[in-house]
Amino acid sequence: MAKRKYILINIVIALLTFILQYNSFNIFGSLNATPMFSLGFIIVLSMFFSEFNSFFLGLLFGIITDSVATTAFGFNTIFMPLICLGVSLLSHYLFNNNIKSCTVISLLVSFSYFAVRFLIFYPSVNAKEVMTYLIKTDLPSAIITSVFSVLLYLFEKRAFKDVQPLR
Amino acid sequence: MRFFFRSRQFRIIITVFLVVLILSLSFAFAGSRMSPLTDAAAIITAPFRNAYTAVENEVKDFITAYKGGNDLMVKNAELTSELNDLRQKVSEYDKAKSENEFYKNYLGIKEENPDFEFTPATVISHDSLDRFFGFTINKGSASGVKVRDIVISDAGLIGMVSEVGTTTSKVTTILSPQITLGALDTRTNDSGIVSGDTQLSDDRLCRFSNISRSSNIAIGDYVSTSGEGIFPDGILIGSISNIGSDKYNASIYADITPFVDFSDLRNVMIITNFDGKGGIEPSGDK
Repeated sequence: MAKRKYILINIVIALLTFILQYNSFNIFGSLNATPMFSLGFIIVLSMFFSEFNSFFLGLLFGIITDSVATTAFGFNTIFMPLICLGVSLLSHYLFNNNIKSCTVISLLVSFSYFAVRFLIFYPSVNAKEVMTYLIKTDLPSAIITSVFSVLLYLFEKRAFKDVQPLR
Repeated sequence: MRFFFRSRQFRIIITVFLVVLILSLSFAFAGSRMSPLTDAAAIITAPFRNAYTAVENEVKDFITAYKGGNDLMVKNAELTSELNDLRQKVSEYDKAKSENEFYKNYLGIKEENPDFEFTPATVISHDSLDRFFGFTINKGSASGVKVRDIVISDAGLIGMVSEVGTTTSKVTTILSPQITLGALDTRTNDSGIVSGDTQLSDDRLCRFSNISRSSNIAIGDYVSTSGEGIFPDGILIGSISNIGSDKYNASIYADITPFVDFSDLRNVMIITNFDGKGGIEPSGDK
């Protein structure tokens, strides 16, 4: 795949993740889930990009996410670059870059992201509400996000092998 | 890995991260403003979001029309508007009746609110991760919008502006525990506090609490703002759907079904100024 085509396809996928994320249709409402496809997208790309490029990819997505989401104080601008840097370090130095590590990393990172976001923005909740949220909403959201990540990983692994653009 | 942590790239990452962190936090805690980076992203992406929202609304209208027929949709819109007018009239009648009796004996009759200054706005994105149905609107500080400006629709109170950018703002709804406001039952004039609740928000309800045990509130009563704090008085919030006692039996509470449909908001109105604005700041606000 040509480098330009690879970048264009990834830009389209990024746009689709935001469209799926920030609409009022609540597609996964019946599953009580609110997956974050843009998070899954940057997790997968970070597994292939260098640490430096992953950090700035996370920063760009964090800034755009904060302009659309109702989070405050630049929550995503601060946390997404750290997430991308961490995922890049994990997949390059600790885990092998394969589908199993993609599944584990995306599940853990998504679950942690939703949990941290909930605890930061809703600090008045009690322990029972936290557990209810983690089991009823956080876990299904993390599972759907990681399913999307795994599917995207299969595409990126094939495409990246041909291109090797930003490593 | 050690090589990376000692590299120049890692030092650049640390520097950029610290700059971004200080920038975001200083703007957030000095007036709940978006950081310049987020503000710039909001300005750049606003045309795309406006276009997407227009398409999304068309798709929603098409789906609704396909399911129910165009005629039913038109009729529904007419009836909803009529119902909102009637609700407002019932509320004003109840309030006027009780105010007339009370104020006739003790005070003057309260005037209406010709002092409100409005700015219309359109909802440009919903955050599906926000369980309290927060959203972003297309007006910001350039249009005179400020943090804690009240947001309403023709159906009733929506919430308040929680973060302001140059051309966009973020709105926190009354389903969020971050918002507490003084309210009263328009029929009995019993006062209390309305706030969001994390468990009730799943059912799109909020809590009307600290109501005296001697009150005569009933299911179906309308609740409106009482004018305490930053919210002006007389704005409809919702109707009482359930009544209960707190665990110490010291007061009673009621669950309120807001009149606003938070999942289908398109156009809202921001109250940018009114007489008496700048009262007591609500607790729990960021």
